[in-house]
Amino acid sequence: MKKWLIVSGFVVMSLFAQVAHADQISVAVKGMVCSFCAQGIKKTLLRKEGVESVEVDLDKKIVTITTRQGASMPDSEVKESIVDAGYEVLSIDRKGS
Amino acid sequence: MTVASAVANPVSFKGGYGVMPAYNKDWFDVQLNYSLTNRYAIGASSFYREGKGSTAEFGIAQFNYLMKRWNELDSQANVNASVGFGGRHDSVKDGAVAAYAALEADYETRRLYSQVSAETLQSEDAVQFNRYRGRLGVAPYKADFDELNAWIVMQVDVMPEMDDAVRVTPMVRFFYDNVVIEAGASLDEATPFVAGAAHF
Repeated sequence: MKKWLIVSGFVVMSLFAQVAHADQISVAVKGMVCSFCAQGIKKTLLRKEGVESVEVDLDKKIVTITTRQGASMPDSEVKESIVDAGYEVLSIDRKGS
Repeated sequence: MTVASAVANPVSFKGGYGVMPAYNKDWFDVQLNYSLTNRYAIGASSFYREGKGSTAEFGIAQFNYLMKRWNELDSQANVNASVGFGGRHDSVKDGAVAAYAALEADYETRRLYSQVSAETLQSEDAVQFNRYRGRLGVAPYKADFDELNAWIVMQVDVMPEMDDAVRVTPMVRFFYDNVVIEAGASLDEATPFVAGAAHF
């Protein structure tokens, strides 16, 4: 019984760890010179259900996307969103949290 | 980032709306657009013009096309085209057919902004209004995404059908978040110029 409880506990914790996972995605973007126009990037990404927040750094030309807990956003979806906003993706880097 | 009379590109981002009013002493424009993709936008525009001996109002259904965009690390350049059809209303004729076309090119960095455009409104009875515009702007400081952006812009309009055919207008241009506001006055008669844009 005790063993069963410990195993169950590990299973639940591991499931929770997967569900609670959030991504921080750094996207290098070409063409971001105007903050008014780049608002389109933020608006396009925030329409995605899995996106918690979007930060834009015009100096570094980086868009940082934080996903909601348990949500994921594949590279293809990131790229599609940036292109829909009128820009080009240079690279995508990911950091789990 | 501008097309013709508008102070911002009518093609914004997929699913985005844009509203762009512009006011001068003898003309007033307002455009509403919806971007179907990052290349195409449809919209409706209203143009009011007081020219040499004639005053006309145009209502135009408009199609806007981003023909080419160059996205570079520190700059962006665009070529835009717009066409439209609708009607004209004035004292001469109520319900005349009208057409609209515009071509625009721009180049900008975070400190420099330049734009040239040509726009024509044509309608029955040879009533027409043309405008050729050039703009050059500089930003006194490099603002980041969430800061107030300020620009000093010189605008030159050549409008053969208007009383003042050439108008040189220095102005200030601010944008913050999804809103642009421009205000200035022409050098010759201090004609006020106010324009704006919002994307949402």
